[in-house]
Amino acid sequence: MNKGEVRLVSLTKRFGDFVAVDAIDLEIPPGGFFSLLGPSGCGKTTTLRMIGGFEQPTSGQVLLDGLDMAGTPPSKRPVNTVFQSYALFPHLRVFDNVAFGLRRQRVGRAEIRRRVGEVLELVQLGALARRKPGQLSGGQQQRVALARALVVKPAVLLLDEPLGALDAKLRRELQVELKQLQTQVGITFAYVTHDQEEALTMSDRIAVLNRGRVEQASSPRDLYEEPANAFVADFLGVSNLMEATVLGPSGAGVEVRLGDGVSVEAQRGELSTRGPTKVVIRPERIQVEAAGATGPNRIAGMVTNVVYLGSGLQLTIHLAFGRTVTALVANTDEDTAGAWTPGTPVTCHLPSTALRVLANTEVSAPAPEAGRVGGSEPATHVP
Amino acid sequence: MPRERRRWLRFGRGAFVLPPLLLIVVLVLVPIVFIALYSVGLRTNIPGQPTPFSLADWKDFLFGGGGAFRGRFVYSMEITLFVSVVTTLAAYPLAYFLSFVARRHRYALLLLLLAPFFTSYLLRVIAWQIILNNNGVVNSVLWSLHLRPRGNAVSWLIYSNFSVALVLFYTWVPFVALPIFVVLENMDHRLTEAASDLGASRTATFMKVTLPLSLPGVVAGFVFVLIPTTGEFIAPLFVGGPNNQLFGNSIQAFFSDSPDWNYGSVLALTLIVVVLLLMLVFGRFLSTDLRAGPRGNP
Amino acid sequence: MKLVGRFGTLSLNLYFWLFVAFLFAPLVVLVIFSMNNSMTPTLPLSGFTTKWFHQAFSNGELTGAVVRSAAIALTTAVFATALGIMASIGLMALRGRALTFAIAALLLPLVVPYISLAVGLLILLQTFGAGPSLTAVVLGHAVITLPFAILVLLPRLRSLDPAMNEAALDLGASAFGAFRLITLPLIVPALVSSGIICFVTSFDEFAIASFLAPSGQPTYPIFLYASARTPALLPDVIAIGAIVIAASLLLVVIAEAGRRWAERRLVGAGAAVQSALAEASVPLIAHR
Repeated sequence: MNKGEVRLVSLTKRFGDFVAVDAIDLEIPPGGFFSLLGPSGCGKTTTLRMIGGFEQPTSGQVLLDGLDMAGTPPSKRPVNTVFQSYALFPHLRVFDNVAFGLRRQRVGRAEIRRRVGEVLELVQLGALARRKPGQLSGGQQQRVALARALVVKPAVLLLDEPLGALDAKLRRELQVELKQLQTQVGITFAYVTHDQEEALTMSDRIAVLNRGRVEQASSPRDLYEEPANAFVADFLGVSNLMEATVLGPSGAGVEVRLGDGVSVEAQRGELSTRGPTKVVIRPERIQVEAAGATGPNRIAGMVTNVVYLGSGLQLTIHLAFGRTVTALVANTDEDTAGAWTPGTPVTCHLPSTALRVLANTEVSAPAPEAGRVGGSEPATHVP
Repeated sequence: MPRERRRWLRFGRGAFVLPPLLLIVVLVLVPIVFIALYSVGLRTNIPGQPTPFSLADWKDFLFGGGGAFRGRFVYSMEITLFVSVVTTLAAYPLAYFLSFVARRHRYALLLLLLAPFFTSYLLRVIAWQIILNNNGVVNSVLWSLHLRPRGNAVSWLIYSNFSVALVLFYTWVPFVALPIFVVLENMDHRLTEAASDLGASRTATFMKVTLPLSLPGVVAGFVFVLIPTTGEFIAPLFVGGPNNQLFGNSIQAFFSDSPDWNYGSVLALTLIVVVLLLMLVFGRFLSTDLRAGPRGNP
Repeated sequence: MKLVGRFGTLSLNLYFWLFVAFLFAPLVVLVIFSMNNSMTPTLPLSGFTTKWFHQAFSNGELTGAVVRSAAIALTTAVFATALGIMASIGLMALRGRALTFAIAALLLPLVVPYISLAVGLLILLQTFGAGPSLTAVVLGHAVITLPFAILVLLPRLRSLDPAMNEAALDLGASAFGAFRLITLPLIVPALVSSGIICFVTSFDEFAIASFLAPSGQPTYPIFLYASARTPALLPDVIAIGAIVIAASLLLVVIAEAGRRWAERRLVGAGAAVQSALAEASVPLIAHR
């Protein structure tokens, strides 16, 4: 029965006049790594806290494996939380911190010792059982918090930006470890973060939140390749969001005017859109060619800035019709770095299969179908 | 989930203030109300006496024949003010020493300064009585050193304005030094560095930078001694003569020696009001972060 | 350029240490005369003796008063600290106007002169037909020490990460269990401070005790007042006084050392010193 599936039905949270979470519908499938991604203040932490039972919804429901969690306090929910500050008990040793939940359940001493030992091995902290939290590094404390929550075998593990306080390198290491851990343990992980790279790296599925609403919920690939709206496109990576006007069908897609005398063909996205809207293209899809190159979807431009990333070059290119785009060029050989310098005239090829047309509304409507498994249903828009 | 249940849950922990609050209401507010009632004659401690509303005692105290008590009130205020000023002046160098000279050991030395405060106040007053007495330490030292003929005591040493003021001064100086010390500690030392960088002498730096910046602490210290001293009555009991009794002693007398609870309540209420007014006027100088919410709460 | 020159350093040192001598002089005087072989505390000294201590300890009234005061002070300390914890927990959950009102009300005893409050309580007793009693004294002392308890406990409670309590609940503890297992152990230093401050304040309190204590059951301060004008009792008073003072100073040292040790165990050395100042300032009604 405890598969660890979470369903949020029209979940709303209001603090006075402020709507933190605005009637969201979300399905978190069991056994996977699910991320709630969004900027500060988007309601992701509040949503997580409502799943955990630390905030009461103003309206709506939190369903855990089909059961309504209303009225159930945190201590009785089959859900455990890893807090942003870790919230370790400073006066207890690591062992007692981890054993805390088991002791509340009146588990026998021998079994406690066994299970605590197991979970500490799992997070690679076996040798530190006798230390106090104050004697541990940030990364170690985080693992204790993890162990403490996992040892009580919750159906769902909630993680509230647990890697926020760590330095970049440690964070990347722990991202990999967390992902492996989740796969190993098989429990549903519900992970809150504002770091889109982190979410993309670790998650099986991501819900992008903005101002209390779900903008889009899908797999990382679908969110990145097929963003439903400008917000999602812009939040995940560089989007090269451009104002454009869709003129009509053309070839396999539509003809889009980007500026005076500049029209291109786009074959992805909301091809039924007409009129003023936005288009996106990812930096790594833009092909930078020598000046004067001809062909469809080619625009003249000039390199204004070059950032050497080691693995490649990030070029800022000013296009003929006035827009600036960012392109990513792989560092294929030693000469690449020198080939592009500020001031070099180039031609930008925006392949029609990489150019995506977004729906032409400013505000994304709530997506009732956003939670469906297997699809990357974009947010339906209300005219 | 029903709305009422939700609201109660959030209110739940706040209800813990109720028992302590109840204690305050019953044991502080209600007594004050009764004092007020007594002061206007609506109640009396003499069984059988009629209790109509009457401002007679108030009028007597404020304008009429209660001149002696008005005089004592004024005298109390004078002593209080004098002691507060002198104490604050004396405390400043102590705080300055702790913060600027004693650097490494300042907290230990602060504790040293404050330690006597934690011993019994009454015992310290009695100790001063022993020291200043006609047979006491000071006089017997003077006699032993043949600075005065034996048996001839210095008259103004005990049961005088001096002895009362001295005891109050002695009690409050460490207390007053504390807020000054705190302010000096929190002062941005870069400002004094800047001043000397710009060529100011030590005196000028002190007068123009340190002193003005430390004024909030000075005022706080002044208030710390002013308000309690207004209600002081213990020191005069031990080291004060008949002419050195303070306003608090008058109140005490009305409820013990010659029980006139109505008139005594007039005086008691006056004292409460005066202290409250002082707090309202000077209270803003005492910063408090008690109203800050708990960490991390939305 | 140092802020204080040589002359300044010298004179400030002189001033400070002279002042410390001035502060401790009366205490030293009491201790000296407690061992002085003379009925009157006067110079020159008359030789060392411990007889005053023997006499004081066999003075049943005196020892009775001391024990009585200690019992009242202990009860007050426990009662006021418990109420202080309750008040602090409640204050943490309040906001806005409710919070402002609650704080003002709970700290009210700080601005009411003790003599006025004492007579007010006397009136209260008389109104309800209750006579003087030691219970009344405890209640009176509890109400004046409650603000101190709050001023010590509330900041300490506030400094705790609220997520810890949530974590405890999350792991299956009841609300009371979380408080008992997590919150309470972490505020032990503050509990001790509060207890000591309330004890010391109650032990030495004269005004309320003088009006509310039954006439045959004086507290130590009442006894002091009654006997201070009686030359015959003076040596006894001085002897016990010397002990009380020595005990108080010892208590200060132990409390401070103990508190720093506990802080270091829980938090770390640096924080221990800072909060030492914060908690030293509380009994002196300082706010930060």
